[in-house]
Amino acid sequence: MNGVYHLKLHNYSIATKNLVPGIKSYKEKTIKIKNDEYRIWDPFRSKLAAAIMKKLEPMPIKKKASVLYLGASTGTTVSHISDIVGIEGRIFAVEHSSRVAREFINRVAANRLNIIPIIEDARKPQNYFSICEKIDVVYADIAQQNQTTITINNCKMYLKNNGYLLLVIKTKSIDVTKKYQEVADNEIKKLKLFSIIQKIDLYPYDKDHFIVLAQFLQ
Amino acid sequence: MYNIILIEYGIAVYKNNMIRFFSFVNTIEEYQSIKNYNKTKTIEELVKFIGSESCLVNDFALLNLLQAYSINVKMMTDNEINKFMITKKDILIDAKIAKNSEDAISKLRDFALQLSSSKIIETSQNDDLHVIQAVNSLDELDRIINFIGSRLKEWYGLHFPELENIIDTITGYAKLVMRTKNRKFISTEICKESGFPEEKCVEIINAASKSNGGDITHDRMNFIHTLSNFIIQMNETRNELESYLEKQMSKIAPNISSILGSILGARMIAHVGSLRKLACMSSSTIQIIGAEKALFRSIKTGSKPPKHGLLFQHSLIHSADRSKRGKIARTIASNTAIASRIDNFGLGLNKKILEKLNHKITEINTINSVYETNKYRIINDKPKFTKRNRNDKPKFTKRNRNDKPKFTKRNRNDKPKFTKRNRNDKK
Repeated sequence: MNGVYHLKLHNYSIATKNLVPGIKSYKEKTIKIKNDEYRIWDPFRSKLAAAIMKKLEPMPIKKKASVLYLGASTGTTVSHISDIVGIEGRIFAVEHSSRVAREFINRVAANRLNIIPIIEDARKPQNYFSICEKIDVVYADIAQQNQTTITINNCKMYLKNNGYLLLVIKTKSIDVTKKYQEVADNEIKKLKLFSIIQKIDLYPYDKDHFIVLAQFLQ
Repeated sequence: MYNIILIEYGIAVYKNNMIRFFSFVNTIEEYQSIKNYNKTKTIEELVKFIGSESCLVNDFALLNLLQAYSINVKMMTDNEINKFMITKKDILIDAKIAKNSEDAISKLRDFALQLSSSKIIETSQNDDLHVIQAVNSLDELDRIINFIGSRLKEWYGLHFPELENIIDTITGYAKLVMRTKNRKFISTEICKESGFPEEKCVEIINAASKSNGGDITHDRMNFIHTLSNFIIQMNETRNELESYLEKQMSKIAPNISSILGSILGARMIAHVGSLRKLACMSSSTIQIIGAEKALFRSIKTGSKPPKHGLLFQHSLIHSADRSKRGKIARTIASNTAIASRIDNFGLGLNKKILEKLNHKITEINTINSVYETNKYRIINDKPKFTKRNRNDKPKFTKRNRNDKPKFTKRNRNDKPKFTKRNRNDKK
């Protein structure tokens, strides 16, 4: 796939080509093939990798894309996305907690020129700084009860027409009493401005998690 | 009509084309202070420039600031804001901050990195973060002392097993072990040095002469000595930490520590994350902090909700009657909520809260006891439930062994319902 390599070694796991060879973002494994360095992408740690392993189609994050990433955390997934989009792409990584963001900036954002860290609350998209263009893909991975509405607000402000949304639904942080399928369906109903392309259950990699791929129609 | 646009490196004024650009002197500080509704030099210059012209603004904070100068300002529509957001690179180039669009993006990235790291520095200078680390390390030290203390007792117990029953505290045990090499050499002087009263000393020496333990060699004893030394040092740091915590808590959160005690208060703050978060919580949430598992269980299955979480460590609650614990926990939680708000928004120690709390708790204790005596009388008059007599026959009888079971085993000789079709069969 575009920028994502399937390795025949290591049980057909996936990997991305390292944008900054020699620098690790977390304690991941790396493989050298000829002159290029590849970083193995563990689907048990990253939900996007899990989605790719479960056949996400089409993959919206491509070379030169600009991505708004809500809930960057320590930057495991962000670092791989930064590998995929390359130097001409851009990632605006939003994270609220300063404790986690400290690690994110030191390990990932400082080394990779295509990442722009934004320490702000995702509930207030008007406070974001340094965003200078409409965005191709929004990736939302926030553990909040009203995560879907937060994401929709962000999309309305920054997402391009016909841009893609990748929404991670954490059913356990929305409602613990209902069944997780039911919660996910309820959340998907809220995406009225979007046409849903795919809904993936991340089961063997993550329990009670879904990823929804949708296209923004405005 | 001016269009005034706040961007990362300054404020741009538009009237069809850019007329003027006010660049910030100290970029990050000034940007942040404007976002926090504070007046800066740039704003004053801007106000002079605008004069009596009416304006449109792209930022809410800027709107508020300019309204304070009684300028006719309005917010832009979302579409217009978006339009300017897309042309942000061009604005930077027009203002001669960046040479080309690539340079503009790298400038924006620099800005984002600097602003984020300054935000991180700001938040990691909070005093309550240090309190949280201190109380967590206190708890962890306690755990370590317990672990190694029990190991020390086991090991030295091979040599002198009776000592464990005589001395209760781990530190006392460690102090005595530090000063002795062999149990035969324990004297009253050594015992007194380790801080025991005379009765205990006699007891220890008696036990040492009659002990059932085996001999111990010099090199093994060395390890035991290092372990006990370790425990004593750990205990010292623990005590220092405790006194430090008390000082800090009386500085940061005097009201919380007057109600909960400094260590429990610090634990509450540590569990929530910060004093500010605790101040934003409702008292019902404060009541069950630390009992999240029980709470979710009760939501899921409909069992009884928890009465108290971390608050159980409060001496008023865990020494109270079982029936009153819930009520006392509720009042303490509500007072903690008020106290944390006073602490966070800074009004110093307020003694009224503690007085009110004590008053309320005595009220609970008295009212409840009257209520209970009444209940007791009613029950005595008309006993609702009688004890079942032992001679009564139980409702369900045991099934007799000779009874035939309902489902019989299928006989092996029975033919199965579906037979395999033979290949040679013709349709």
